[in-house]
Formats: sequence, C-alpha cells, structure tokens
Amino acid sequence: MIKKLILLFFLLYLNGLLYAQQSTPYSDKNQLDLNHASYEEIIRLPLSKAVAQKLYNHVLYRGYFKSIYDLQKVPGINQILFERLKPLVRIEPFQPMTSVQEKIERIYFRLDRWSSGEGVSDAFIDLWIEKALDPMNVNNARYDELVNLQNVSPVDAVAILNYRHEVNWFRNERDLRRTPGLSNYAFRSARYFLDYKNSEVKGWHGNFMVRVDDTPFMANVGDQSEQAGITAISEAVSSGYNFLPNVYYKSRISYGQNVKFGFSFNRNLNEPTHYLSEKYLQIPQGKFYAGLENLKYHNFSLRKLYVGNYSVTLGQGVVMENTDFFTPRKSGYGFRKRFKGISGDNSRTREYALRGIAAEGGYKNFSALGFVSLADRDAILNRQPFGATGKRAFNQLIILDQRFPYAPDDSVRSPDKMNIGWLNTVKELTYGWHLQYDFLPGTYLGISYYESAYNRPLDPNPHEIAGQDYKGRENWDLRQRPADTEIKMAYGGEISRGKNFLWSKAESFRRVYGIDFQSVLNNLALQGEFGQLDKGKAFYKVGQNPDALVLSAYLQYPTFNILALYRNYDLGFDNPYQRSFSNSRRYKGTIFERYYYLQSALYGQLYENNPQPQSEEGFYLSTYYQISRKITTRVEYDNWMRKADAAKQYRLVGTVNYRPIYPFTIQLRQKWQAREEQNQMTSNQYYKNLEFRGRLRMRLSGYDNLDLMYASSKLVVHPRPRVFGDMVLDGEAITANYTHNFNKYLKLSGMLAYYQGFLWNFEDTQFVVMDSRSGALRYWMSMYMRLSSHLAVRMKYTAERQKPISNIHFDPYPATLTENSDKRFNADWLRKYENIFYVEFNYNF
Amino acid sequence: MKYAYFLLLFILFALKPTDSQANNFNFRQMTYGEDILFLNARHLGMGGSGLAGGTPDLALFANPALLGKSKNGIAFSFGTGLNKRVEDRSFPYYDTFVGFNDYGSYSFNAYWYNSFYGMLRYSFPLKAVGQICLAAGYQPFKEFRYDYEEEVRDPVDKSDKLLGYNSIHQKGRLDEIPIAVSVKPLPGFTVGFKAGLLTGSIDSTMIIDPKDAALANIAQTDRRRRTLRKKPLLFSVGLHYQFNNRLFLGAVVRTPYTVEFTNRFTSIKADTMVNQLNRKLEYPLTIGAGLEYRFQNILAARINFDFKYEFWSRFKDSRSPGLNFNDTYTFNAGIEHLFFDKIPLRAGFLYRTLPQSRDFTRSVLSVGSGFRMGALKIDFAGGFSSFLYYQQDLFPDSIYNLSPRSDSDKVQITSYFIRLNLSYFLSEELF
Repeated sequence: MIKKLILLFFLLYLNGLLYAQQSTPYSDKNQLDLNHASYEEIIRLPLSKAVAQKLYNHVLYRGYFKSIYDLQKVPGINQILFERLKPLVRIEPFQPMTSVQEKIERIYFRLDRWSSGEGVSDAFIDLWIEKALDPMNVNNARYDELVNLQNVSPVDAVAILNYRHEVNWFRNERDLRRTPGLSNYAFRSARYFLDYKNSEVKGWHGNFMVRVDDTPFMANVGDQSEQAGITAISEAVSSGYNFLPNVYYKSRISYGQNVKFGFSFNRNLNEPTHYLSEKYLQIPQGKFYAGLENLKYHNFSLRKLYVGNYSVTLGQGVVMENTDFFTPRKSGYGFRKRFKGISGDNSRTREYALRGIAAEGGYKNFSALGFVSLADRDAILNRQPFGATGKRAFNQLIILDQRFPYAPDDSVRSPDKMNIGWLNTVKELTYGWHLQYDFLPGTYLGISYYESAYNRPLDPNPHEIAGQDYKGRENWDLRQRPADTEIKMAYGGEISRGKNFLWSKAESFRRVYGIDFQSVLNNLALQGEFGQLDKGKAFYKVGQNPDALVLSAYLQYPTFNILALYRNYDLGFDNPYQRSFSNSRRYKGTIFERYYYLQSALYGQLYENNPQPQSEEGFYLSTYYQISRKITTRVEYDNWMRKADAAKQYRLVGTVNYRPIYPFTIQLRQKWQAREEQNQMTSNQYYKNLEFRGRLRMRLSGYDNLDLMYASSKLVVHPRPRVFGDMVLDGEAITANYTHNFNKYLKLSGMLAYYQGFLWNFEDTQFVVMDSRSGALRYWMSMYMRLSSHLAVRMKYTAERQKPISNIHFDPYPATLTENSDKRFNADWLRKYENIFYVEFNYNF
Repeated sequence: MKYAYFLLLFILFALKPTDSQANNFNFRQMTYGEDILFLNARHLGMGGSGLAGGTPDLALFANPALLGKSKNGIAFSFGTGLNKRVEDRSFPYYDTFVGFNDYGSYSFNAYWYNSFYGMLRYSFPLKAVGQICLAAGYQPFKEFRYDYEEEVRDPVDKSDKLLGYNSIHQKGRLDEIPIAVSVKPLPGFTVGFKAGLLTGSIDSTMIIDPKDAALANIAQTDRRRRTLRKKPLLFSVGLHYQFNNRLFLGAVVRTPYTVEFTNRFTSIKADTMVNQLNRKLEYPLTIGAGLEYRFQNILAARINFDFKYEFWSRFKDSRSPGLNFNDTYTFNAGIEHLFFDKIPLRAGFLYRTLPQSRDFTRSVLSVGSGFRMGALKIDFAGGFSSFLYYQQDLFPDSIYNLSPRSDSDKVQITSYFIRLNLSYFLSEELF
C-alpha cells in the first residue's frame, strides 16, 4: 500500500514537473523550437494572437524557417519584436525530405520537360522518370540498360562497361566521370539515373499524369494540310462526333524494383469514346500492363516479362518497332534514339499496339526475346469480295487521328453499310522473336523474326481507295504518277493468302525476318540490320525477296562526333512495323497524299499518319564539332533517291552556335533542301526549299531566359506543266520567348510571334507546325506550378489570329451553279483564329 | 419559302422547340438562359471552384457555409463582371470543281455585357451555436443576353447586290436577392442556409429588314417581352468541414426552382399580331462537393477541386414536354499561390458537359491576381472559353427567294470573362 502511495506521489510530482516545464516562460535557457511548435506554444511568446497565427501559418503553409533571421520576413514582426523574440526561440533543423522527394527536387526541371514528352519517346520518358527516382546501380547495369538512358550512345555504354571491368567497382560519381571514352554529354545525363550501390526501393512508387487540351491536329513533320471535310464528320451524328477535348491519362506504378504496372487512356479531339465493355459498366478502352523485371536464377536472368500492352523495338527498326508515330531521320543517336527491347506500353500508340505477352531473358552471353499479341486493327475494307473466297478483304491498315466507326465522308461506305466500317475491322495475331549473342559488351549478332496473321484476306487494290471524278471515271486510272509504284507494290493479294497453325481464323499473313549486328571498337560504333519480307522465296536467296538494309558508323571524340548511315529499302518491303531511318513517310507523293482524289478525304491519313518509311536509298552524314569553348557546329547532309519514281533529293542543314559569353548564345541555322531539277519520270515535281533561322538566346539570372528568333524561308516549286516559270512561296517569322522562374515551384513562360507562311516551333512542351498564307499573330502563356515535391500542374493558353482574307470568289460553269444551288462558291471573309487550352496534372511518388 | 420562314419563327421564339434543337446552343441560351459561371475575381481565377476553398465573399453564390470563415465583425464586398462573346458564323464554300475549300465567315458578332454583385455580412459569436453569420446581397443569376446581326447579299449576282439585314437582339438577366445564415455547431464544422429571390425581365427583338424594293413584303419585326409572373424562390444548404490544417471539404445542395414567364409577343408584318402566353420552366436540383488542400510551399500553394452535378434530365418546359436533356456535371480546379503574403496568383480550369449531350462540353481557362492593403482587398481575373458547333442557318436564304444552303454553318463562340471586385473588412481577417 505504501509503495502504491509513493508511486502515486511520484507520478504526481512528475506531472507537476511537466506542467511546470510547459508553463515556464521562454528564455535563452528554455527556447522554443519554432519549426516544430504548435500554435498553443507560439501564443505563449510575447506577441499578439494575429502575429502568432502568422508565425504558425508560415511554417505550416510556406515551409520551415532556415535561420532565425527568416522571422523578419513574417508580416507583423518588426525589428523591435524580432529583438525581443530572438533570445526566446531557436530554429532546429527542419524535417528531412524522403528519398523520393530529395530525388524529385534534384531533377524537377527534367521532370518538367519529360512529363509532356510526345508520342515517339513514351517508353524512354517512363524509363527515365523511373530511373531518375529509382536509380540503378551502375555496377550491375547491363549494356541494354545503359544504352537506353538519355544521351548515352553505344560508345558511352561500352566505355562504362569496359572501365567497370577494369576498376571492378564505381564508388561514386567521380569515378564515373573518369571513365575513358565517356562523353561529357552522356555523363551529365547519365549521372541522374545511376547509383553506385544497391539501394533497394521498397513499396509502391510511380507516377500519374492527366492531360486535357483542345490542340487541333497537325502534321508531325512537313506540310500541314486541311485533311478532311469536317462538315461530313460533324453532320453525321451516327459517327459519334462530339465536342470532347483531347484526353490522355497515363500511369506507371512499380512495386519495389521488380514489379511494374501501367495503364493509359487516350481519346482524341471530337472522337467518340470506345469502351471495352458497356454491358454492365462502361469501361473505356485503354491500355494496361503488368510486368516483372530483373529476376535471376543462377546464370539465367529473366530481364523482362510483360502481360498486357507492351512495345517491342528490335535492331534499327527495320523489322519491328511498334509505334504509331513517324520520326524523320531516326538514326538511333542523340535526339533520335531508339528504345531497345521490350517495355510496358502506356503510350498514345493505338493502331500498332501489341497486346499479349512478351518476355526477354538472358543466359551468359546469349539473350532471347519473344512476344505474342492478338489485337484489333483499324483498316479500310474493300467493297468487293476477294477473289473466289467471297470474303471481304482489307486494303490497308490505317492510323486514325479520330477513331470514328466509319469514314463519314465516304459515300460508298456510309453509315448504312456498317459492315465495311474501318474501326477494329481486322484481327491481327503477331508473334516473333529475337535471338542475340554478345561477343563483347556492345558487340553482338542477332536474328529476328515476326509473323502477322490476319482474319481477313489482304488485298491492297488502289481502286478501292481512290475515288471517281465528276464523270464517274476512276481517279486511280486517271491520276497515277510514278510515285504510285509504292502503292502498286504494297504487300497483299494471293501471295499473302495462307493458314496459320496457331489460329484457324487466319486468312492471310505477313512474315519478316532479319539479321542485325553491332560492334563497338574503342570510340567507333558499327551497326547494321538487314530485313526481308517473305514473298515465297527462300530466305537465304538474298535479293529475291524484297529487303531493307541499314548500316551505320558512329565515331565519337570528346569534342567531335560523326555519324554516317546508309539505307536501302526495296519498294516491295512493305512492313507495317518498319520504323528505320528515313526522310519521309511511305506513300509520299502518291495519290494517297492527294486526299481530294480519294473516296474519302480521310483516307489521306494513309499518308499523313503513316509511320512506315518510304522506300529510298540514301546516304546520311551528321557531325558535331566543338571548335572552341565558344563555337560549336553541327552539319547534317542527306542524299537519297526515292525508289518509286527515281527522284533524287538532298537535304543539308548547317548550324553554328556562338557563345561569346556564357549567358549569351547566337545560333545560326541554314537548310538547303531540293529535289533534282531533271527527272524524266516526273519532270514537274521539282522543288527547292531554303530556310534560315537566327536565334539569340539570353540566359538571365535564376534560370530565366529570353529567346529571340528570326526565320525566313523560300519554297521554289514548279506548279504545273502548262505554267511557265517557277513559283516562289515566301515564309517569314519572328518570335520572342521569355521564361521566368519565380522560384523552383513556379515558372511562367510565354511567346509572342508573327509569322507568314510555314513555320515549325517548340512551344513550351509542344512541338507545333503552323501555316498561314496571310500572316498570323500567335502567342501563348504557360504556368508550371509545383505545388509540392510530388504534384505539378501545367496550364497553357495559346491564341492565334490570322489576318483575314476577304472576297473569295470562284467562278464555276453556270450549269454547275444550277446543279449546286444549295452550295456557295464565294465568301466574304476567311477568318482563322484559335484559342487553345492545355491543362496537365502530374503526380510522382 | 413561307414554310422556311415560319419554321424560323417557330424555332427562334421556341414556343415549342423540337428535337433538332439539341444542337442549337444559342437557342437554348436564348430560351433558358446561361448560368453565371463566375461571380467574382477569385472565383474566376480559381476556375469556378470554391465550394470548400472559397472566401466568405462567395458564400451567397456557391456555398452558404463559407460564411463560417468570416471573422467577427462586418464586411462587405462588391464587384463587376464583364463578359465578351464573339460569335463567328461561317458556311462551307466550294471551288470551281465543287470541291470543299474552306469555311467563309459571313456573320461576326462581338459584344460586351456586364453584371454587378454586392454583399454585406455580419458575423458574431453566439454561445449556443459557436458563431453565427448573417449575409444579404444582390448577384446575377442567369444571363439571357444575345446579339446577332447579318448582312444578306445575293450569292449569284456578280454585283454583290445587298438584299437586306437580319438581326436578333435580346437583353435581360435574372438576378438573385439572397439572404443567408451560417452557424458553427462544432469546431471546424459550419452549416449554412440560403434563400434567394429571383427578379428580372427579358426583351427580345427579331428584325428582317430587306433593302431591295422587290422584297419589301418580307419585312418583319417581332418583339417579345418576358416578365416573371411571380418571384421564384430557391434555397441552398451547404456545409464546410475542416479535417485538419491542410484539408477542407465543402458541399452544397440547391433545390429545384420554377420560373414562370408571361410572354407578350408582338409581330409587325402586314398586320400587327399581339399574343400573350405563359411559360413555366422547372429548373433542376444541383448538388456539389469540393475539396481544398493547402500545401507546404514557399509560395503557400493551395489547390481546389469541385464537382457539381445538375439533374438536367428533370428539367421541364411547359411549352416543350418532349425535351430530352441529360444530367450534366461540372469539374472545377483552381490553384493559388501567394507572393509576399499579399499578392495572390491564381490559375483555374473549368470543364462542364452540356444538357444537350454529355459529349458536348465547354472548357474555361483562367488566371487571376489581386492585392491587399490592410483590410481592403482588390482582386481581378480573366478567362476564356472557345466552343464550336454546327447548326443550320439562323435565317434561311429562302426568306430572300434564294435557294437555301444545305450545309450546316460552323459556329464558333469565343467567350472572354473579366472580373474585378473589392472587399473590405471592418474586422481584421487573415487572408
């Protein structure tokens, strides 16, 4: 009993002590830790309630005090009050950030740029964000992992591996910097993705992005055209036309380091939403994947295993690279890198999306990749049954900007004939593999193969695509040009007919096989890939099947590099998954480009959106030379011949950067591009394009910058055989771009531009192509707000006002007028203006 | 011709709208009014969000429970809203080979209209309910303004002969006189109640003014004046809850309300016709909820999200029983940063579906700022919205004895919003 009383007394004493401690006035011996104080504790300081609230709110909403003198920034604290408070409070170190937060803070400016990465590099963007937040140990990294990092060339990757072999272990960034042969450019990028020890990331991490905008469609490269009569689409209510904006949700989530998940949903402007299921619950048709990476069992490693949507890239893109997006001159180097291997796919690719299972594994120096996919494809169907089969064949696979159920302006495939729509009309089973043997790091030999089987016959009959003229004659018969040989050589017909041992519904097939190699010798990388499209000849009889070849050599020095690339694609090498180096899309210059001759103007997308390279033979040279610390130069030269009409062309681009002082750069860029003046096959297709760009870049304090640009271009064309002399189309533009960083949490940027003619430009995170005959004023303003380490929001407004054109008047025959009295052939004004919004939320965790 | 002409009148004055009206957004606006999306500058700058993160100035408009944020004392605020609407109508024109060329603009109407709001509130402690706040004010509720003019010329005649002018002018707005009360029964929890009385009238004029003597007989002036038969009453109940120092929740329910108009219709053609009809519009229930999250950020960042759902499928028009509207939803997001504790920088985004279809949407992007001098706060904001749809010619060419166009017009509506307001606190209140 006595013991209990003593204990009770002791507890009461302790409580009294504690209470006494709480109520003791603050002094220089009993200072208040402001960064971790509650409002009740702050109010006990000698200040008013309002100022106490402000002090408390400052820590809560603006962040921790870093020094006692930060108190002076709080409104209401004057010098006298500060002197009074100073001995009573102390500033303890603020709470450290989590490791993910720390990494985000280190690379937030890169996340800003990557977050809006467009189409072609989705797999890279995902990988880079992931590796930036969850770096890989350079001491365990494989060649294929290193070479996928930003700005790392094969020479750089091999240099790292060789030096690692020599020193056994990179201890830190300084060791990496010493790597012989590693370019400064690669080092500065790679260091963000690399770690020097095994740092296991536990739990869930990843990112989530939502983007909503109403940016209209534009060509990725080259000329932008009015693609199709929007009237037809908008008036056909059954087409599903709507006023919904572009929407893109994308997420990538990892659990630990080995388990990956991802999903995405992409709906383009005005198109209907397509659902996976509508019966009980409307589930939008999106993409998803689940994957495992880097599992090891003795000498065998399962590098990647993906179920769901995945992307595959082999070699130089001759055989397989399943993106919907065309990238001109995709050399595999610098900004035109090519993702190597397989990855989970949450990109905006819709037509060539692969869905099924894909795996990549390795055993010692041997590696293998295999995949199988069963997915729907959008394709234009023929109206007439194919041969004696009685079945309707598909004509061409097509990438649609807007996935309507049918081509609304195709009068012969109109809504009452939904059985010849173009949406998901062909089922494609695709499987393939790639085997590779690595002789040395970066030196390997590989063979690849894929086969696509379709549940319809394949018959690319051009009469089914081209329309008729006003007399009912076939445009295909009337309007053919030599370039149309590419259409004539499209793969299909009887040669494509066949069965598939895995799929009883298969009606036709396509097989492509190839061989690729790479060798890195010190600072020289040699690469090559050869592919053949199976047209019934033995694969070893080279030259009898249509084939494609890419060879390249890349030499790298610290201040100089040069890339030489040769490609040669046969006309008959019609491989829809080919994405190798080319200047132009397939079907350029053909009747598919002249949409007004087609059954539907929307079939113009067969050219406009075609990601396949045209068949061409050419030699490309690209070189970068840093003459001094102040002057750098870059020269690109390409000389090629389009196979279809033997048209020879060249393109030469020279760029000089002069930086007399660090914050000021002068950039001059000149492009010369022309098609040969004499060509017997298409004598009137001559053109020449000259383009000059002068740019002044001023780096101001706080990472602000001001960028002024002047561009001038001339396009010389020979319009028609009966018109004498050349026509010159001038283009001119002047732009001013300003970026202001208020701090690392808020960035404001904007541009003001006047242009006339054709112009391409980078606007914040968007690449845009513009065209205005009459001249246009264009401006945009963008706010990039980081609300916390994890959440960032971008809002952008773009406006364009083209100078109106008045009194447009056509003068048809009176009979035409009478027959079309419900139509108008003149207009008072042609006004063109745009108001575009862009909103994006990004969450990284 | 006469058929088309009467059809036009039939549609324009919406005595009995048809299903084809579904795409005619300007008709809907003329007949049922356009919701006021943004009351004041902060509301606009935050993209119309504020059910949880709004200031007490927004209480009468968005959520009466926001009154619970008031400090004890008297405060008032008032401001003006300026809106500009640009309507560009164009038709497709064809080249010599009857190939589609482009859209030629034939009517370009740009006009400004304004509104005004004011409110007064008084807040004081009351033991039984923690704190009580009373407020009253005057604010815009539904806008009916519409201006349209077009010139008609002979499309075939080479001399570009002037045939006449067509116009529609409508002005008027329903304003609300609200009173509200809020109480704080629990710490961090506020309940608010609002009752509002609608007032206003709408005047419309449609004129066909031929300038060719041969067409004098088609001249027509139609006038309509819509007055409220009785003042409609509407109620809102809102709540606001503070989870912790960073997260806040707001929710509101607005009851359905009925607007009954007396239409006095006057048509002057050959003979003057006067007609008087009643029309009852039953507007639906609205529910909404929003969140505010305040980050720890050197610029004191906060983000607001609101979601509102309006049961437009239950909307009823006594003159048009067959209306087939859909429920609509609105999503608002707003971000606010604060410089030097005095200067906010705001950006907002609004996305809403329209009653005609969930596939028809409007988006608004906005920015705003302001400054504070002691108890005085001045805010300003601007926003824009662009909207495109296709619609048959408002005045068919057949009125002028021409072949009517079979193609739909492209109608591009661009709206600009400007808000400027001033608040004054007779008691001290933190920003």
